[in-house]
Amino acid sequence: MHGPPSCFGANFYGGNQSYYNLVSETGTRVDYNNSFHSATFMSNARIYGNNHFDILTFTTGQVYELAAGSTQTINPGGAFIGNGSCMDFLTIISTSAGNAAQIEKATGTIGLSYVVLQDIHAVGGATFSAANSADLGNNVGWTFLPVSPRNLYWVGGGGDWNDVAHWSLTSGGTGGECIPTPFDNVFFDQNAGFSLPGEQVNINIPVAFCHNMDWTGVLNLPALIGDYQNKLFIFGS
Amino acid sequence: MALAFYGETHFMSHATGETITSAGREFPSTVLFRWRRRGWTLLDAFRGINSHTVTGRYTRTGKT
Repeated sequence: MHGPPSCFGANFYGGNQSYYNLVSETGTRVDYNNSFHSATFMSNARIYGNNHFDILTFTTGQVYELAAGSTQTINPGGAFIGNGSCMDFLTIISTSAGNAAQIEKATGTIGLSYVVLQDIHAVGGATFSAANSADLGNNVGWTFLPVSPRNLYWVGGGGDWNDVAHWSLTSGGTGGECIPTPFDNVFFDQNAGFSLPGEQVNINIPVAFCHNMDWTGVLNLPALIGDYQNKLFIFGS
Repeated sequence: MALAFYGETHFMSHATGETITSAGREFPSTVLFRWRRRGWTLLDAFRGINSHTVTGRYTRTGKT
């Protein structure tokens, strides 16, 4: 299909189709083998089959599942754009525990940032890298770029985990730091700003990370809360 | 602090010497311990409703 961009969320059953500019705004499932010029998934997606893309774009804060055993190919000269943000990560995993899916690109580079990867193998000769990202295992062919660990202090009392205004480089300091990565230590201390009993730190994103977590000295018995569908990963060194 | 986080908590150790002090708090949901070398050392009593040691994977969020 060629023409103006299509804007919808859908399930692409049947397969063996060619799509031009696709923008999917809601949860999407792709089946079998297809060819896309530009595909932008703005919400969660499951991608089955072996598909080819000139340009594949994933969106921050969303979860993308690639079928175990499948290969998603970025065509020569194409691009894979998958960047999380300072406030949220982008997650790419396979559909089956321990069974990898492949992303293939023959030449050039693919550079992602603020992503969570698990069971994703990078193949085909291109250079694959991930910055400020989490390796949850069975990721082959990726270079996880080293980052400088930070000590991040919670400030400003109760609030959401992904609100950068609550993360500071100093105890009681000014917020504005990007949310914690797996390399960052987080502290909730006497200067965290909890002025009333029971104020809450809400893990409000699908995956939250830290290296060490320390609540020593915190005042007024704050609560760490979050819904069942969200996950907290505390990494050792 | 109080713990009212109902999502999974994953302790991911990649080295030796990792410790957990929970100071009497109870984890109200699933806790998973994973490691590549040595495990986690609990420095005080650990209380959890549903705790596992695993070598498996992070399961999806269920939001698709």
